[in-house]
Amino acid sequence: MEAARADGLFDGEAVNGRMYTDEAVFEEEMERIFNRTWVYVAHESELESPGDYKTTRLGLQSVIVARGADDGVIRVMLNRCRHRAASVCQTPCGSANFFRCAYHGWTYNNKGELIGMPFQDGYGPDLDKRELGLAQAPRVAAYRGFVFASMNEAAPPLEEHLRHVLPYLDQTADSAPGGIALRAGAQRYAYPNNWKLQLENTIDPYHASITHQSFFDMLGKKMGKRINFKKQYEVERVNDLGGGSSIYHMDADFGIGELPFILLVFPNLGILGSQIRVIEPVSAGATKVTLYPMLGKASSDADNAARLRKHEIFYGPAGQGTADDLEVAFDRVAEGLAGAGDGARLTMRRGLHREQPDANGLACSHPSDEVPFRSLYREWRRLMTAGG
Amino acid sequence: MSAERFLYYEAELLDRGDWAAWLELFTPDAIYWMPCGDGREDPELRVNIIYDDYERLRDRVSRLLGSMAYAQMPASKTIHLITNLVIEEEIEGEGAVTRAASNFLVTELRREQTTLYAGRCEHVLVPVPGEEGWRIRAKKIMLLSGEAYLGNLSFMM
Repeated sequence: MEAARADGLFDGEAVNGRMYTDEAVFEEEMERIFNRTWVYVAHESELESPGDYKTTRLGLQSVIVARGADDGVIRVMLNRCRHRAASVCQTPCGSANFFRCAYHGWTYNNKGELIGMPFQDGYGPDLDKRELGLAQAPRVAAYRGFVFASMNEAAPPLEEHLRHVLPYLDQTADSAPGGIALRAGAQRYAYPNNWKLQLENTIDPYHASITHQSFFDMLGKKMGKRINFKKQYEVERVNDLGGGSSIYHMDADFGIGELPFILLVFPNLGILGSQIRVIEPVSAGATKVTLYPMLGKASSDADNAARLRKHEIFYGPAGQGTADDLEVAFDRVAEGLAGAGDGARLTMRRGLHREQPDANGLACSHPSDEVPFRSLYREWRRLMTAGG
Repeated sequence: MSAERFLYYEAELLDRGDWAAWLELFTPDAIYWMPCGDGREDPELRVNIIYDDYERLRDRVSRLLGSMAYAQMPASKTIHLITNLVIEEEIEGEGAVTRAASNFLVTELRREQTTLYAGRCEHVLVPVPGEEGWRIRAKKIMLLSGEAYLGNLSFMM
């Protein structure tokens, strides 16, 4: 994307409504962001044994994330037969030594290697099956159990890319006795609006006391003490972590989850409450979200159950937090943006006058400020305008 | 009142949006459960769409009755269709309980969108001494689309 066009969509202190509505921008995002940078694909607890796999997406592309049956290595393969492009895996998760295409019987082992096809002589003697394996993400790496993939061979090492995010992945991995595991299933919701709105809404303390007032009022009555957001925000901070990621450090328990922070890892991962949140773009005006609660591997059943019950109150399609966001942050924004064309200039200036460099030299400010959004869109801009 | 009539009455309260009256249909030890899947797994250690005891259900209703539950502003309008009713168990006398299973189709209209929710419902009903009706000790709602990417489910199914 040309710099001028990108600037028209985000100029450092405002975003244009087209950022959320333009299908051509969306297509470029799928190529320039989801086909380039490191994208979260799985947690190792979803792939515990050799042969285990799950399907997910890199952008719009269906991928199989599989732990090699013989070598235990995690690979990310496009779910697309090399012959006529049929998908070879139809289930969200499972265990398999082979993926066999039902169309012409081409069979891949769970490392993605083509190991068999019927009537092979149709290809002559110079058939090299090694060239016809499932296309792989050239880079797959994990940090403390969080698995990322990149379709860009030249991507920097994961730990360099996630430099300032790493301590929070550590904290998450260590947030329960024995470590964390995604063993409680998942909630799924979809909304008719742009994926970047969910990134924003994930780390937006500004809206908590407004959109979710009815929830916190109820919680306050139950707990016998109300959260004083104003006071709390005075000691709390949001920080840019670089690369479009950001963190909100919470000083108190809001009563909806275990983690003392909200972490956004650009472009598709949120870690907050007691969940791992995966944001899946579908089109400019459609997004899918999956919430995976984290259990403690060595926690008691009672503790894990309590964690899930807390999560269920606020999160999920019937969650008393999520449902309000679906209406306010997505439905009402869709209504407001309808027909706007180029005409919606949306200020993103909160905190520009008072943000300060933190110990990492990155912006830090009051939790209600839009440090996370500016960080997100700076990275968006960098990827969308990168040469080549 | 037959169990069938009672299920229609419950549906009528839901379609009228009379949450307060609907909440009164539940016993103090009630469980209101909507699993993410088919509900064959243990609800305690799996995440559910809803898994409320009476207290949490009461909190849910009281929030809806307030003026700032934006998820229901605008409010959903629903029509419940109940069918394929089977009385799976009927115990009378001491510890009387009736287990009813039914299919449902809820048509929800909100923001000019119509969404269909189909599923199977299991009610555990207990008679009310001195009254004609029933109370709900358990309601388990197994959505056909339980594992799909769902929208705003803040209305009562």
